[in-house]
Amino acid sequence: MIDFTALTAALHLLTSSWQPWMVVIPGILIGLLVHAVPGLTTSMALAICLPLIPYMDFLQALIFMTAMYAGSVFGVAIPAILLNVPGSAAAVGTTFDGFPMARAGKHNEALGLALAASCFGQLVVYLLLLGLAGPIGAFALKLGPPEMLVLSIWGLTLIGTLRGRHISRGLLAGAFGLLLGTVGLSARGVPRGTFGLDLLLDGIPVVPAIVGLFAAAELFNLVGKEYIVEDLTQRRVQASRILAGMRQAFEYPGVLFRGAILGSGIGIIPGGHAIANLLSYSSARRAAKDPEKFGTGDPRGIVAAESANASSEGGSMATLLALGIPTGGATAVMLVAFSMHNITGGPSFMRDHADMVYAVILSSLAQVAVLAVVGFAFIFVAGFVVKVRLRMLVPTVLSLAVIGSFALAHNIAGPITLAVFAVIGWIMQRFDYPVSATVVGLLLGRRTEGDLLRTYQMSGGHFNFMFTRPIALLMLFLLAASMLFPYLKSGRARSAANKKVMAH
Amino acid sequence: MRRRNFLIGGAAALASSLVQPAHAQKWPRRPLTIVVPFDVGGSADRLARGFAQYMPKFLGQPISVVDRAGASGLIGTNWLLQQPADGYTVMLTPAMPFIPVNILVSNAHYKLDDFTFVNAQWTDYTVLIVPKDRPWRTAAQLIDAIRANPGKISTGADFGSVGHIETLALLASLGLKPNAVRMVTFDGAGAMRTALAGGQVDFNIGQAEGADIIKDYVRPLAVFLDHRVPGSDAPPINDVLKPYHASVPLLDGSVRTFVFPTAFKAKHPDDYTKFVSAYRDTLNLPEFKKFLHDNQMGGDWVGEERTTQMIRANFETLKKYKDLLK
Repeated sequence: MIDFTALTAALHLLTSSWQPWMVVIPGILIGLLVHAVPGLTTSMALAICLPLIPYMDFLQALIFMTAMYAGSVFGVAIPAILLNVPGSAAAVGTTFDGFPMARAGKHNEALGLALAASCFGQLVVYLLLLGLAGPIGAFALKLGPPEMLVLSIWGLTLIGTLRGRHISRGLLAGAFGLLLGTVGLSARGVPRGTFGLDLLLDGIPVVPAIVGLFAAAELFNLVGKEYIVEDLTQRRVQASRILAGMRQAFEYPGVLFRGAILGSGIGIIPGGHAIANLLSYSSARRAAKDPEKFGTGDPRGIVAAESANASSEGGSMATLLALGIPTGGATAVMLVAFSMHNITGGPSFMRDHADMVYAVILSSLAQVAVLAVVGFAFIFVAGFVVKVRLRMLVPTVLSLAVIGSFALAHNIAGPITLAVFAVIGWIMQRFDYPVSATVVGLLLGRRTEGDLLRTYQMSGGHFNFMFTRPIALLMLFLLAASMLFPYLKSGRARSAANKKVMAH
Repeated sequence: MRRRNFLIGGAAALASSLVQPAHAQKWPRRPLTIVVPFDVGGSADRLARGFAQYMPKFLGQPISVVDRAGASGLIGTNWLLQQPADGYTVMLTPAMPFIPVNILVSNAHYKLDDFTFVNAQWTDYTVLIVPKDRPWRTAAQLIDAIRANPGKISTGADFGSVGHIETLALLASLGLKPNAVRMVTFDGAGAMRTALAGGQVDFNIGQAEGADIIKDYVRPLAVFLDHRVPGSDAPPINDVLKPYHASVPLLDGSVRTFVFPTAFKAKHPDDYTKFVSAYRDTLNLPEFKKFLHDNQMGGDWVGEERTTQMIRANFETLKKYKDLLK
């Protein structure tokens, strides 16, 4: 599978000079910092740095972009854990257990867990790409609307587990999110729920809405409290405890591996990386013996979400690297950077530039090691947020969020969305409706509907069409099995217990 | 030495700005912005970044690129119209099909007359392609297959695109109902392209450039032009349709041009002329020509009049066929 001539050429290219590697640390730091502002995205950070690319030589540009990518993939986890504000859809799952851990004074461990899981996820996916970029890319093309539909349905089952105290309110909140997701121009060209506003034709801007819902729900909750961590003795930043957190991630090898593999798989689907963390979280929760612990500050929740998030970002590079077809924001920007150095995408990419493909993968692998060190230093500094009084922190975070939402939407629609959803989030929180269920609905509503429509269109209305899609069928079967498994297990446990009782 | 020159130059500039009244200063006095109403990495964005690199030499001011994507270009186009019509903001976009489609399909609040189309620099045509593993070798074979098995063969479409309208026009001209094929509507050309490369649908009518990115996975069967394209066996579609006594309108797939609000040229004709001459100088610059060539982009000069005619003619044809979308 591995083209060793090209691999050697790539190694030679990367090690030809040490000077281009000087951009690694600035690259990673820019990536990490961009996500300190909720709402800024990886592709945006890459786009902002694009004008620099013509002034770098090719190797330097390549190293710089992969470094920034590596940094920003992890960066989203930091505000998610410390402030419960996911920097993008990719960090929603990280907030579920990350923020409860931070509030309980385990912010050091939580950040360490996230860093280790993120590095591990990136490591796994780039190793996979190194050996199997071609087959992975080819497999990605086999996944059509029916397969994506099953994935989306899988994600939607998460709503049932995010219900909070009342099942009905959880389902209602999820349905509300699904409805919000249908706002805008449908795949069939029908505008719905736009109230005649052009700005809503693309739907509700998801990231400002998520930030609004989360920020309001939690930050308003914190009003009246002094600090994020209430216990004075716990309000410390300790390198040893960050390290302990990093080590702790490897105490859950199953969760770690499942997250990394799931993320790699889901990431190859266009747009998949936004939901990989949610799917991984839900599957980890379902597989756990004690699922009720999830959401209360369980380290496994962070590990599951972050390993999948990191590996899915790498997975989204598979079709670019193997086939020269960019599937999303960040990969498209990378292709632009390549084209500034006269390397164009398309089918000839892997064939004519196999050494470049390997150089990107090898360089990304090297970034993982640097990220572990730079990220450690970065979270050590970022951790001091817990020492900031909330009456200063909350307004600062909210202002940054407003700026970020403006940057994202390029117009006042971003801040307005944020404000509207902040109110909705506050009301929901007040009456015990879980905002996370709404967020899952909002994230998946549009995709689910689009893929359902396309599956129906492809089938021509004939149900037996599904039998021509073995991958989708297998995925449906796995989904059903994984949902029924806990009941079978508990049923068996109960009958075993009954037998014991009878024996007495 | 260099610094001194800079200082002297700076002092001279300062002096001249003090001496001359503000309105006498020559446009452009500050940096220009090229707005691209699509995402980073698309064809218009890549072209705009080329201009940002090479055009400042002739304009005397730097250029920045901003991407205001959304609703098939509608959001960015609205944004352009909200800016002062002073020439400091110019849009670079595939004006055809998106401006007519925004107006006819998405009910945009602007009209064709609101824009000055500078020059159709880079045009693209439409092609009929099938994934390589499908059995049809010619367009006629595909058409016969559709007629023999109505409702069995699937096609992909980016809703409201020229390819989508050509697909519907083709079916109509053959006397087939719209449901003679399974029409699968995708959110955007990128998603559709990936689906085609993976053989998720049986055929597609869409942009030639998009087809080029996935050319290893698909086979072109016909071009929507009145002539063949060098280096390709695909015949013109209306030649294929002749035995069926049918024909389709030949719409331009994509016409990329700089676009100003009409008010700019009306109010500041000299500034507009200055922009056009800097633009033509850039097109003739050897380094820029190399950039276009390396990135497989067009660098034609047809001028404002012919560009406007082209877009107008396409608009009228689209208008006739837009009811097919319902």
